[in-house]
Amino acid sequence: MKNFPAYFQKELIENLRTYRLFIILIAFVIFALMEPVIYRMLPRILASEGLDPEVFGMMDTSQQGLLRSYIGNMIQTGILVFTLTLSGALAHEIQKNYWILPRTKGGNASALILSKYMLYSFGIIIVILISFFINRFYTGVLFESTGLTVLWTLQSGLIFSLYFLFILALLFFFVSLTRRSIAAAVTTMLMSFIVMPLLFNFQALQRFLPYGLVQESGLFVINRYSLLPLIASTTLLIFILLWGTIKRVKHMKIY
Amino acid sequence: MIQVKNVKKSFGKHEVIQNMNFSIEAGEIYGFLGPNGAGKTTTMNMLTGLLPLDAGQVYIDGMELSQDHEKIEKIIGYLPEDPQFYPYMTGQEYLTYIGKISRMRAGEIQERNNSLLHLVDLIEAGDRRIGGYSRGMRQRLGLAVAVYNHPKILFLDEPSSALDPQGRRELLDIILKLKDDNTTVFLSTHILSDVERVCDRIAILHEGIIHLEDSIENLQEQYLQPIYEIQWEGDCTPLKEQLKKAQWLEKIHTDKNRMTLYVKDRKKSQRQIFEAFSKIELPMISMGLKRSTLEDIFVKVVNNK
Ligand SMILES: Nc1ncnc2c1ncn2[C@@H]1O[C@H](COP(=O)(O)OP(=O)(O)OP(=O)(O)O)[C@@H](O)[C@H]1O
Ligand SMILES: [Mg+2]
Repeated sequence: MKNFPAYFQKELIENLRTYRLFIILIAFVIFALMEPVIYRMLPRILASEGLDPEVFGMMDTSQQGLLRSYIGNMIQTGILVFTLTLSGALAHEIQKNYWILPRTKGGNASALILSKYMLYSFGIIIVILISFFINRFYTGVLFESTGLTVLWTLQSGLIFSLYFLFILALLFFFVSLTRRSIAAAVTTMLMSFIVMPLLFNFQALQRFLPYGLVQESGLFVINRYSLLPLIASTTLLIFILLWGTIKRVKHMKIY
Repeated sequence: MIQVKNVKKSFGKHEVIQNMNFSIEAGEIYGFLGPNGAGKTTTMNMLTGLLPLDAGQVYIDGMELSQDHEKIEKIIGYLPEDPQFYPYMTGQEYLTYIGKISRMRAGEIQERNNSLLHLVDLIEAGDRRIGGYSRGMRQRLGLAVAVYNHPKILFLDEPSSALDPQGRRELLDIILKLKDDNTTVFLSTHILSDVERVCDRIAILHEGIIHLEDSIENLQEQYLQPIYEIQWEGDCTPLKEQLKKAQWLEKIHTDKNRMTLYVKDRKKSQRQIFEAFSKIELPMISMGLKRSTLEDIFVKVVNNK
């Protein structure tokens, strides 16, 4: 791990030049802006379709409600963009044989993986916070402010980010299993779109399944009793996934 | 310096390396030859620890490959057949990255970068992104990476395959210079004239077996057979019968007024050859001595066995 700074610096250069985080940021921000606008125009759209605008009255257009619906959106589109954009981050090292030369110079699998993980974790936290605050600001402008505080937004963003950190660890793990960016991205999406929601139906798992973080992030109340076990189990899972990834990549041979 | 004992490797049912044995002394330049698909790259990958062995042992500088892999990595350099780099980095940045991974100090890195970029003739391209390099430029950069940490043993897999004639000559000079520094070089190549220029010893690998291993000098004595090419003033076909019985003759070939003579042992039979020529009435226009090359040996070994 002594050469961690060298790896981190390399990841930084990579990111500035491949625009991965920038692409994710743009996607998240566009959705954060679009969502309030669409809600604003919904009554007129409904009316022009000949539908009863009363339906709209039943929708939650408070800032909290709108942020919650944004969260619901990003759990689909956000993860799609996130996994597809980042699937190459680790996979290309292996798939395109970039790792061979550094490796013959004493390169180190744990530094490679952890530097990537740290950079993208930090990046996605920033992206999510920015887009949450943009969403909060914009819903306050288009609808009336309903007292969604900065602190609540921040908390909600951090809880939601933790779920993305889990997805990232899952993605890396699948890359180490499949060695292929697309295969890993598809498996990760399968897990987050189908397997996770399915498992979440089991009462016994709800308290520990990272998917619970999504729900928690939209509650805007801190319930220590439900939140802490989720944070603990997700963190543990992230560690296990990263450890598995490092272990596999360390012993990986070319083929 | 390198000892390979009973090494085997298969990919599925395909047995690529069948019981390979050889050893290389320190400071030696070892040419590893063989046709496409012979298993040269596979061998290189195994010796550099990138590919596991199915059976056998490899010792590098007295250390066993699988046990002391990390220590071995510090003393070897490898230029793969088709080296891959992060396309978004510049040559300079990549070398700096390699320097940091090899735990060099910042000042040292800058110095080493400059001298290596100079060595491989990439000074101007050093600040351009590698994504825009040609294959030959990537091979040059790969060489710079391979020698970066002053390795004791250098593995070069077809290092000149993408180089222009100038680059090839420079590469040979670099290899000879490394030999002066007592670096051991394991070199696989198809370019046999290069092998003759720099290698001390060669091995010919074919279908997973080493068919021939010897020093260049021995090979030249044993295998390199002299060939006379003679042009006569008229049709020389009738001479064929006359010369055929000679003891020194291995093979004779005639084509109108051209004749090719394959001679058994030039030193011993030289006098007899010229005596035989003097008895021939037909005027001779020209005579040239052509040495058969390593290429002929190569083709012979690969076709016979
Ligand atoms: N990963 C792999 N899976 C299956 N077969 C392989 C693999 N790698 C190499 N081979 C086979 O092993 C044999 C030797 O390949 P190798 O690349 O070592 O040849 P080479 O001597 O380097 O050839 P060239 O001169 O073309 O570079 C070939 O028949 C090749 O098809
Ligand atoms: Mg090869």
